[in-house]
Amino acid sequence: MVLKALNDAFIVAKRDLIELYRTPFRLVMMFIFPVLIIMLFGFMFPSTSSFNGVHIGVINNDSGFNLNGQTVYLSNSFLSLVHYNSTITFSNYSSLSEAESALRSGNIDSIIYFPSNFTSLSVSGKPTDLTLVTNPTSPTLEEYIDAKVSAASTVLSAEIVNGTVSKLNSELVGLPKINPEFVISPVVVSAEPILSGNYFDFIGPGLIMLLSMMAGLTALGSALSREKEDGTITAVMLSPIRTGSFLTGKMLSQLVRSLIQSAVVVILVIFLFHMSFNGNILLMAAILILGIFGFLGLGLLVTALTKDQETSQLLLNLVFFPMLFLSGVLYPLQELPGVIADIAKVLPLTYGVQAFRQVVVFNAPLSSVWPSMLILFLFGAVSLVIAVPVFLVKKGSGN
Amino acid sequence: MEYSIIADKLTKKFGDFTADNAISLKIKNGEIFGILGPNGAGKTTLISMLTTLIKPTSGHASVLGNDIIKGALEVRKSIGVITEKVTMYPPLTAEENLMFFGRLYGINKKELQKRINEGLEEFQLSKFKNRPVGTFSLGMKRRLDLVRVLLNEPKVFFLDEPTVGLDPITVAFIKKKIRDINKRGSTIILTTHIMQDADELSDRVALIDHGNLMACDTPKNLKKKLGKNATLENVFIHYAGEELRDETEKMSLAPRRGM
Repeated sequence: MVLKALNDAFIVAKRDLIELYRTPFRLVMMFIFPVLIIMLFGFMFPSTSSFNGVHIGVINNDSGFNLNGQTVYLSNSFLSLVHYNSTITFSNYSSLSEAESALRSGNIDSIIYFPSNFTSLSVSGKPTDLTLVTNPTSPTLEEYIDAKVSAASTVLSAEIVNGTVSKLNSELVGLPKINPEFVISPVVVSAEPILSGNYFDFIGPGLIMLLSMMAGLTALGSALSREKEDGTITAVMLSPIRTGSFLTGKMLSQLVRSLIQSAVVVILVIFLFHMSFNGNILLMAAILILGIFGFLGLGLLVTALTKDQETSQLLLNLVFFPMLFLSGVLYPLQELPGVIADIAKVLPLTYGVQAFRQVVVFNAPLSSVWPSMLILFLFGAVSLVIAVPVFLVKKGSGN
Repeated sequence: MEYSIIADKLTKKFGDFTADNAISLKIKNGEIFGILGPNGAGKTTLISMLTTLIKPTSGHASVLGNDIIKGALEVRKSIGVITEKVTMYPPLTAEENLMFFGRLYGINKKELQKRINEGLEEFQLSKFKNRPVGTFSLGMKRRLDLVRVLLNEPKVFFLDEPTVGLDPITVAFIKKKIRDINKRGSTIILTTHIMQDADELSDRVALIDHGNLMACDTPKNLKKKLGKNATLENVFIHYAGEELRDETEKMSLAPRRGM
């Protein structure tokens, strides 16, 4: 009986895969969607050095400083440092209000304001300041400009301190010389990344896991909805096949499809975004399979409770979008505020993303990720235990 | 065993709505048995229970001696069902569809291939066997459906509106095939709204209305009760009345559309 049940499941899975192969549109869409998602996110969230078209408005009131008959402007040196190794461009404005109006209308991304005594104060050994006006509605861009301006400020400050200390050292006779580096930064923090990588190495594993979840959530549901609408499920259920075998076959074919889909995505991110997969391949595959399995039950439940594909799609969107934003796919969970962080902790995708990222990025062993894998498995098993009887009741058959 | 189907007080309720109310029937081996009734009368629910698609709320029934609940898998092995809607996978070829359904009955590949070839030949579809079913006309799909239900050589056939929407040539062809199948010794349960088909084909007919069995006899006897020139349509209207049943149909169909 078990052999017959397994054989029936394989027959159903094989038919599903033949149908997929015979439907070029569905086959192409199966790959286009994940590829599109990966490419969009890959290009939307690049490393910070690749911002293009950043435009800064400058109000330069710096009156300079006369040095040996020549007027020196430190503001120009500062702007050169900001521009260094980037494509940032500058536009001059005569007043702050004019520049703010340009920032509000989106013509510029930020404003740098130099006071008239910017150079003179610096040269005379007094602290000076400039104002940076940013646009907080574009946080990644704001962060990028802030980093460039801070770096320029550090370099310029170091040069000023260097000059001042050298001059001072030459005047100190018989006393220990002052190390300008000590004056600039008495405590040096040396940040050492545990591995080389960029932001895509963070979102890449999250996106792959998200796509697995979507496959689990939608594929079985849409396949069953299609069978319901075509009436083919009635013909299958009128044959001597157990509902369990039918559902197992459906899940099997969705699993094969999803794994092929994931493999394509993995190849794509390796070649296009140079993402490195440091973990054990079998462990990564196991987490992906659990990711798909984890959401099959939920997808089945939604399908059983809805009358057509359109309604199930609407309901599935309600599941999908909170998971996308709250499961640590795009940003670390530490960034989420209190209650939202608590919600994230009960979302199964959070654990899938966490485990997959740990294995992909840090080569974490099974001993570190098994609790997350267990949560995914339990979620999948419990949701199937709930979904299958609902499916059977809705179908009206007890076998 | 004299009877292919025995139903004893078979009842199906969907909430407060009673689709079938204590229906008792005995259908003899080799009989063509017509089930007639207006829309929403309870015909499809009755067929769904007898073919194990839905469980009765109360009552019992057996098909070829197998209980429709306890022996559901055995029942399914011994029946062939044609539903009103053609149930084939459009992207798959005719042969692939037949191979898929045949394999679910556990027929070995060699024997299955032989039956598929014979079936396609008998229903004049051999030259289309490698074409996707999605490209078939309704008549071709219906013929292919008949090939499908014949694959497991069932002893009992349930045919739900098998000729609806078909052209007269295909209707004549299918009616001939129904008679041929019956001549091979199979029992046929036929539901139809076409009174002429029911009259021509059925040995006996059952009239169901509002979930109740109103009459069950040969078409000849039923007509005789109404007068010399009465037709089966007169019999139908006599028992079902002339009231339109739109609302009733909506009520009875709604709970069944869960699947």
